[in-house]
Amino acid sequence: MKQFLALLLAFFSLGAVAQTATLSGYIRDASNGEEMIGANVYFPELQKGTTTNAYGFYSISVPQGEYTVRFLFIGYATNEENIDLRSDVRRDVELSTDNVELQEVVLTDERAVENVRSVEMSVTDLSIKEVKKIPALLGEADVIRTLQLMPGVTTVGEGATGFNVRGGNIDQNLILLDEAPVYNSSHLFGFFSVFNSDAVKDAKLYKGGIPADYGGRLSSVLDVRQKEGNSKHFAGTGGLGILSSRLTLEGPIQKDVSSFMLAGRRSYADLFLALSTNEDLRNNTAYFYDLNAKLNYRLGEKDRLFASAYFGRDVFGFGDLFKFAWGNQAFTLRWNHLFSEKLFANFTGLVSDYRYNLGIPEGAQAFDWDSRILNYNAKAEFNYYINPENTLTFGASFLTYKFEPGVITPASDENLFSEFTIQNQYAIEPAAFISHEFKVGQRWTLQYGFRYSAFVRQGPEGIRLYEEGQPLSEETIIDTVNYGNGETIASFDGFEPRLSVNYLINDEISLKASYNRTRQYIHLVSNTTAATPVDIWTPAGPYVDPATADQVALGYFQNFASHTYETSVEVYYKSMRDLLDYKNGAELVLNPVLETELISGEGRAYGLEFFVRKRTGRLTGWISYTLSRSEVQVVGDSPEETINNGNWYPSNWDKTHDISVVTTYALSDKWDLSATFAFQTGRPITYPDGRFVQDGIVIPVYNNRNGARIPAYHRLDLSANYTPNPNKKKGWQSSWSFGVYNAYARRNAYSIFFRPQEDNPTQTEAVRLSIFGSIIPFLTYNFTF
Amino acid sequence: MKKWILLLLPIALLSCEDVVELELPEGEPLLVIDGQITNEPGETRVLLTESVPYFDEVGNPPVEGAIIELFEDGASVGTFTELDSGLYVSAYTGITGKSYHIEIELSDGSTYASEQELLTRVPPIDSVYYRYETDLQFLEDGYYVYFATQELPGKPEFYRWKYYFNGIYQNTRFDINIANDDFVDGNYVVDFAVNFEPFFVGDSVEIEQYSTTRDYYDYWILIGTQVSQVGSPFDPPPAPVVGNMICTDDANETVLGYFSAHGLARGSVIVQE
Repeated sequence: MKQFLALLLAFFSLGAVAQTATLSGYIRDASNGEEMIGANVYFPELQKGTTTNAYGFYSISVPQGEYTVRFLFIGYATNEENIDLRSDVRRDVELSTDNVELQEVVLTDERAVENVRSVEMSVTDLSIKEVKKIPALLGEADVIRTLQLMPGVTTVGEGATGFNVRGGNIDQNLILLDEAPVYNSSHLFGFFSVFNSDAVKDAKLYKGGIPADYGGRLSSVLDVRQKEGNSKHFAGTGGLGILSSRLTLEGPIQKDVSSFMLAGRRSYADLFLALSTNEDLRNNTAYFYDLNAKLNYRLGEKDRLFASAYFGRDVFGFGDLFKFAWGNQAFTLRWNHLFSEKLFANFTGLVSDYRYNLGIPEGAQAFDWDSRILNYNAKAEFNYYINPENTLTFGASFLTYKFEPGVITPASDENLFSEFTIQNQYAIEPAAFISHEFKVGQRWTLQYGFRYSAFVRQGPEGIRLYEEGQPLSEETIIDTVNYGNGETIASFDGFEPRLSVNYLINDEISLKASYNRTRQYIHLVSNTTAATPVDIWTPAGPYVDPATADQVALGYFQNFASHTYETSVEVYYKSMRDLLDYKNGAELVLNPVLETELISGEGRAYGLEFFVRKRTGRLTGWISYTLSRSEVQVVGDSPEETINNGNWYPSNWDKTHDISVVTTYALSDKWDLSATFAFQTGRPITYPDGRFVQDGIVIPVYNNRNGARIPAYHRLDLSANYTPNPNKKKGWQSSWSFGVYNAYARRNAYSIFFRPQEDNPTQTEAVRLSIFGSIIPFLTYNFTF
Repeated sequence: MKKWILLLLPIALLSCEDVVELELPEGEPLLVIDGQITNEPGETRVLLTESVPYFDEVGNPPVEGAIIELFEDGASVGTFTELDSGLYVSAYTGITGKSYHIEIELSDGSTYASEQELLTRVPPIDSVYYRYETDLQFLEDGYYVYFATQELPGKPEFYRWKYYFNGIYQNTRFDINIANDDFVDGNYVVDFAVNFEPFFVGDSVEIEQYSTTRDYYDYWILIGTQVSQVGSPFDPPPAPVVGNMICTDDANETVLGYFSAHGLARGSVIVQE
């Protein structure tokens, strides 16, 4: 450790020889005052530069002198200024999009082309503008559905909850909304994400080379940031769609000092149900809503406060028969402080609360089942901009968990159920991280660091003990040990090294490499094809180990035609250990001895990703192709703890080929036309190789899990956006968005399943289940004011 | 569990199902045992068949000429006689609290055995009754049959129910009625619903309440997930359905099926005006 610090100091002293001055400040969007993430500051004379952080702050220290400085961001007009830097200067800059939208080449400087220059690789940055232009299911512009069109991101099927990144399970994605963890990113069982695109400013997915400041999941980080709220003037955005309506209001509270953002979205299928003449249908409820709110306040030049909140919920009710609800809630407080023009700090405190419940409202079987995960998190992160060559990021985080897997309460007097509780589980997850970004000459950039994390399961909880050498089952329980409040039940810790390297061959070509180790202390317990909202999360503990993964990736990045076309090719290999799997026929719902159903396996995933993107001009979009493999191996001590005789077999989301083509063409100021095409190899599935009868019931014989595949998936979506008065800049502006999803009405198989024939149960048949069997049109009216 | 299907309503509005033609792999024929012993006379039997390819149109052939021996707490209590092709019966009646297993020798000399199964206690069915219902959601108005039973307090209990409507055994894949007492231990269980389509006056309903072992319960839970939880986005993974039989002369040979032991209680009612 000492040597490491000495080494760091040696690096920093290199830059301290000449007298330097620091230029720092914020880069903002001129139209609404929103801070811009990843905007560039460039000194042409020095050929040096930096980028803004997640809060729009930049700082760069250079030898004293007078300089030309360029501030740039893709899609925005470059701002060039002469700045006298004989002493430290604070300069907040605003960039504007005026008159640049349709120019073929907007970038005047290669520095803006982060994809080649940056040490980051395996990163997908989505602009909300792009998300809104592409055709969307039922007209709901959706961050996660758009991500699924990117290389390395797949899903087990249409409408399935979550997404799979580079062969990882859906629980291996750390999904953050203003830093708060989101446990269920889906509305309507998985068709839509919880992110209201009007409330979101930026969404960035890290598939590899994950920076040290993120941790807790194996495969990816999706960092979604909400808008701060227009600090210039009051504004509104909204839309009316087939499925839902939304409205966002934002504006300054005190101009250029404080602003707010308030967004709401609600689906209204249930309002149509209420109009139905069928009484059974009328008594049903089915809706979701989101509320996003944010406040920010600048306390002078050095301090800024943010408060953000999210509330989302899905509610389904089938009369008196059944009800079902789930939702995330999060509240984040952040304080940005400049200790000096070189040292930026952010302090975060947050609460995240994921709840779901299920029940039967009336009758002898009436009950309520409530379940919950509650997190408190305190975090500090520092960015130290030592000189243009050296940037240090370091910090610490303390996270607490409370899992309430289930409380069943009888909901009526004449009830046949008893009250039933599955024990709560408590844990803490402290972590510290440090990362150094180091530029060596004009060609090399190195980012290295590590994260050290620990996970401590604490009481109060009773832990069951099982007979040694026997598979865990209710029959082999020998005793229960009760741990007191705060007493350590089990603890785990480990280093997570992270490394990324960029070698710039010339201004348009670079080679990148990265390695990261990640650790995951909580697991989603789900053995269905698509996860359901009632799937519980379980923490590592006496019988469940934390999962770990190592990933290496290599990338070749090249831009063509003055950076009009960005291309990349990446290869990756990831190995994963201690993944959760389940005994055959496992009962996972409300099981007080869940550990008896769990087994563990290993995973490996590798692939090749091609990506071409054009972000400027009339024609924009991307083409993505992924060739990949994702496999699992489960070898236990007994046959019931082993799958497929211990051989490697493909995971449920293994899709060999995955192609997406996303295009938007700006026909005129008024019309945009978009088309999306997706093709994927069918996912693995298990076919029976025989059948037998027990008690008159025909049972399939399955021997080879995931030994076959469903037919390939492909789909074309088309849409048009029409803006009647594109030149109207003030007051009410509107646009229409319409199109079709699944344009050639392909009945893509979600699964193929096997069942007895209805009229002759001794005979059997194979059935294809398609989630969408036809063309799905949509129409959305959007407005801003 | 059937109610889970309703969860899919919003999806069901858009989804569709088509029967498709498929080429499936064809595995070797495997021996299948379907047998039981209860504490009632005349209920001790074993059916031996073979598995067939999944799309086979003939049906599972019986296995004839086997020698089957019944054991109580490890001691032989006699052999089965072949009553019909592949159907073997024994006059021996089980006793609550004792364990049973069978050993089989096929005509080709291969030998098989089941694991020991405990014949567990069963509470009587207290009453079987019916009501004319007019207010059930998603169900038609008409007569519905229920029963009541006193669940036994204490150690974990597992149950299976079999229903006979007008003498016809209800055994489609949606008729697997199985439960444990996790949520009802020691409770007086009432209004346990039997039917989801109304009965008419004159219809008869017979109910058999079986106590089972945990292994048998797990086996049928697995069968239930494999045959009835299919066709939704939330299907559990297909899995081998392995019972309590082993091949004693070749450990690698897969044997299917189960020989079980049960306490049995009965109840019945005839729907009247």
